[in-house]
Amino acid sequence: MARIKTTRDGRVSAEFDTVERDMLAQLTNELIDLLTQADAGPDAAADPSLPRDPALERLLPDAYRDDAESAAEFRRFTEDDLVALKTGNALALARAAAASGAVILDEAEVLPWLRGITDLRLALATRLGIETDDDEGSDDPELAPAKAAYWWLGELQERLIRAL
Amino acid sequence: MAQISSPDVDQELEQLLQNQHRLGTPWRTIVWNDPVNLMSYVVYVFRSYFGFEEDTANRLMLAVHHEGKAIVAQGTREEMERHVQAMHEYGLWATLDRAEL
Repeated sequence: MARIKTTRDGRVSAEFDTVERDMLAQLTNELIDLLTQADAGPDAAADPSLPRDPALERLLPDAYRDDAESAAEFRRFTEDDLVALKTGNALALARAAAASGAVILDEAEVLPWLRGITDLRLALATRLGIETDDDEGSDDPELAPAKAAYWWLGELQERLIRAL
Repeated sequence: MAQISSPDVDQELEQLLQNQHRLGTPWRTIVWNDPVNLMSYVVYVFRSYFGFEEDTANRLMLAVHHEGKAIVAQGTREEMERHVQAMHEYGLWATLDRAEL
């Protein structure tokens, strides 16, 4: 498991092994690809009849539950910024995956990590079919790496929050 | 001394206040339970974004967890839209709606 420590000056140090770095690089790449699909066209976001990847639905949810018109309007004005922010968070994690040795983060730098980890977990949970609180996800052997990554990311996030 | 209000003005004023009341009907930001987000993360988000004390953040997190949702803020539509956008930035599932009178 990644080594997460609080440094003497109150910052957070994170160090990954090679396997973890590879996994993080792959997952962040996939997330960035997924987010790119949100920009499929100027009308893609506004047209609810166009099917979207379910993982994208969860990353960019409707702001209004029973008001499709307001939800579409809200999306038109906010979605580009949200996609850009989430892409930036994924890139921050990708940079950490590319670094050798420990990465030192101050509190402001931990935030994009926590958010990026959340987005990775949301996307993985959709693939794993995790729908309820006690759901541990699909037992399909093909999804075993995704499942391992999901739980690893949860542990990583928990440790980062504790280190703050 | 001129009379300050005539019945007509009173009526207008009342109408105006009613409209203001209607326009001021508070909107609400609701955070919904999801099986993915960790309890510790939800508490972290409530504390760092809304500035809630730990007790309040914990209580709201548990409400989300056990009751499926919690109202975390009330106010104008614009304010609630900003909160919902912020929750989506954190990866929490949030919506806004208008509170029932």
